[in-house]
Amino acid sequence: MLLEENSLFWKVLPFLENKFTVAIVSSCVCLFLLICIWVLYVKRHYSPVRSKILIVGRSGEDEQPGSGKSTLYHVLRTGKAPKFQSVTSMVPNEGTFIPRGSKTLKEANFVDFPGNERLKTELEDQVLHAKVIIYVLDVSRLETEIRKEAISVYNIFKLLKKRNRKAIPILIFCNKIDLCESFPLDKVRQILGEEILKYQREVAPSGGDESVLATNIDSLLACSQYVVSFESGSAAQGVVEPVIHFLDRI
Amino acid sequence: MIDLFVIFTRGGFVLFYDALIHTEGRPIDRLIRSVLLVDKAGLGQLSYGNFTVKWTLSNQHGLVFAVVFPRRLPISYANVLLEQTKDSFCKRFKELLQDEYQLLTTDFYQAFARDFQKILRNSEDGDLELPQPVEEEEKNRRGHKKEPQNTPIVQKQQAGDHHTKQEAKYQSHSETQTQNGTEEEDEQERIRRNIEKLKLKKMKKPESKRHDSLQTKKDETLSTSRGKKNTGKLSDKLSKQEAKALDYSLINSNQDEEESQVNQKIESLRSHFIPQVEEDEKSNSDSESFTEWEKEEEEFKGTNGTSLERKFSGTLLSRGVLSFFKGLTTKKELTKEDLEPVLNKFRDTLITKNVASDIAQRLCDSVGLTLQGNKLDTFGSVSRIIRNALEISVARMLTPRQSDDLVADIVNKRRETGKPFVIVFCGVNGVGKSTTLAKVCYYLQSNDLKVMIAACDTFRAGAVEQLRIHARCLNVELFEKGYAKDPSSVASDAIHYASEKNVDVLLVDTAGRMQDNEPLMKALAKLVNLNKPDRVFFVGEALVGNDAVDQLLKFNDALIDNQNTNKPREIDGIILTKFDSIDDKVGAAVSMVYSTNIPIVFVGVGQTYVDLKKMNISWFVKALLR
Repeated sequence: MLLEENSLFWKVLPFLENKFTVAIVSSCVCLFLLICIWVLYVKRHYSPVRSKILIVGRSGEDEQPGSGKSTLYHVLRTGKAPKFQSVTSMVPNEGTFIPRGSKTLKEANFVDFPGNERLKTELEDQVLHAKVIIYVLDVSRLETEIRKEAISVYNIFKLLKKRNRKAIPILIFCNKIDLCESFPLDKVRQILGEEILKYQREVAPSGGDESVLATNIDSLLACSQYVVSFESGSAAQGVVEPVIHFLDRI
Repeated sequence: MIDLFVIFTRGGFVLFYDALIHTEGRPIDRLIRSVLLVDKAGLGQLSYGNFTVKWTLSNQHGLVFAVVFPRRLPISYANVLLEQTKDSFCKRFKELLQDEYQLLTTDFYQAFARDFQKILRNSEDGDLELPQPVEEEEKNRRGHKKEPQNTPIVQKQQAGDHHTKQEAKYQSHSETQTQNGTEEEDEQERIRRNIEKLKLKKMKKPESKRHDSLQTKKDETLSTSRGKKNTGKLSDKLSKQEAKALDYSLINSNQDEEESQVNQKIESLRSHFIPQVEEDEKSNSDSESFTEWEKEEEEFKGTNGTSLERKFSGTLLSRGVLSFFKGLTTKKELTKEDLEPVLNKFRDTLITKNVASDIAQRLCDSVGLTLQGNKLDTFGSVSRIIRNALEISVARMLTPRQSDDLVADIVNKRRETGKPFVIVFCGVNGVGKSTTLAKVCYYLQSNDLKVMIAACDTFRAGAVEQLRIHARCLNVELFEKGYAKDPSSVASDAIHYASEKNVDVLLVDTAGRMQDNEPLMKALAKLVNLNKPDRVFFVGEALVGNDAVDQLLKFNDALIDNQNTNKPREIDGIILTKFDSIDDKVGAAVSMVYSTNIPIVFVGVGQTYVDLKKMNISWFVKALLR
């Protein structure tokens, strides 16, 4: 019943007696297998391109340490803070792993990108391909460095404004909370937002119309291209649960 | 005596940190920022404050070894110590260094402290020779690094003796283990277990290292950028009427009668220098003045952002196949011998592009140093790897450290202090200071700022008249005190006048001077010292070759030397003129930025007021390495 007289199978069979056709068929099969292997390989290695979780922030200057990007990466990777204070990164730290201390999260590709301004052009590329952005902010020096932080956050917002895909979540991680008096997140949100609004008014004349992102803090921090949330913790003390909760939520 | 010994990864994690005394001011961060990130690794050592830092790279594992010692007590064994430690460390933790997780979790300090102390003591005694590679094969594979010059001479027998001792030390960990304390023993045990585990893992899956995605993406961005656009036209034949307008002897003789006529001429001049289109769209204040390049840049970014992904998936096919085979084949390690001929070729290319010869040499040296020991794919070529490394390092070098938005800074200062923002232009004769000043003036005007020009060139005949023409064309006020006055007093008068008139920006034009002219340089330093300008811009020609560095360094040094203050003003930015006349010989910019780290603020690309552009780094890099 399965193999009737005129089914395809019986038609093909005589061809297989010819050695030449056998050679062709077998090579076709081999090629097919190769392609399959390659497709699997590509899938494994190139699919996470748009699933990067990008850790950015400002680099340290002169005598000051950085905002703690590498330390955060270290804690997420290994579950504990590094033994020695890290130094300025020259290349991104990149790894695919499940953050320590999380049960529900899937494996994700984390990129800790150096904050040094000389790598700005490379950073822009990374920002455009990120799934989630974690901006590490040094709260202990927020008041003295507010303008620089605002400029750096503003530049990321501006980059994201240009692309028209679904909104990506941004977490502003207020790091080094252990080094300063209690700093309510609302206050951080308020002063950072105000500084960004102030800065965008200043650059508006030379930057053209698109340099004005929003007119009030609420629309600045949540729009169709990104949604900003705030959390606080201390990477150097190993307190990064807020980051993991945040990653859990999205 | 050393102060500090650090081993860290290029990613910024410190693996080993042995501080003998507390060091102020984070010397390691300084090393990274001012040397390693800008590709000056060829320098050999960095002196800063009270410290001197020496370092060596292990590119195979992405590690940096650095030693810090007091500047006044230089140690002769620094190189020996670094090479020794590097060799010992890399050999011992070879397996661990390849796995990122192990790299981060292992306590290298615990495991390595004793060994390090031994090496340190030995090298302090000066009886340690560089380790001889155990086998010839090993040497070839590791790409042995250069020998330090100050290796102590040891008698042959002694060396041999020591050699065997060392071998024994590395080969049998267990022997040393028994001597160590229990804690360290645990750590050693754990590390050994990890190594075993890793070996097992490795046997299961052959190496298939993930291709550095950042690198490939960088390639792509660079390949999408477009070629050079032709720059402004050079059509400035003076008509008879215009020539008359410039003839000041005529105007002065019967000024009253011809006032209206002069105005008419000015009008015609204005229409010559400011293209009609711009005039129409001047109301549309912002970006129109920055047309071409900005637009190009935007286009470039557009391709970068939105359609890059599409392209990415398109090239995925070809790249996927290639990297699949890449994963299968073995990788070759780059040695100095491999790199040298290709690097020489690149150095020659750089020199033909007008880069100063010693700068080109230094740039190539440090690129070579950072590439030594890297893995080369079977399908990759040395020249491509070097080209990529050079492209990245030049792009990094030219990217300014801070965001350099001049207008934002001006607005900020005006709001905070209410005083005018003072910009001083200095440079060698005939590079186009006054013209550039007029261009900057036009740029600031189109950003709705009130500008005033101060003519502090009280030296060259006709300088004030030249500025007066520009001032009339641009409709700005000119502050002048005639000739043979002290320029610094003219400038300070101008600043007073400007604050009275509520001017936003005061542009100060100075006389052109050769960098070797001592009295004139002193005068410039005095001007800067007295008036404390907010910005000092150096105007330089893009046409110069080897002289570029000399000019800029001497100007900067003269400024610093002739100011009797603790915090002397330096040059804040470079404006490169005549950029349209050099085609792709863009090397002067590289020479200037590499030697001083001063950012390029603007480039002048033509004769009209709008021909002042911001630097397009990606185009620049392409032109340089074409």
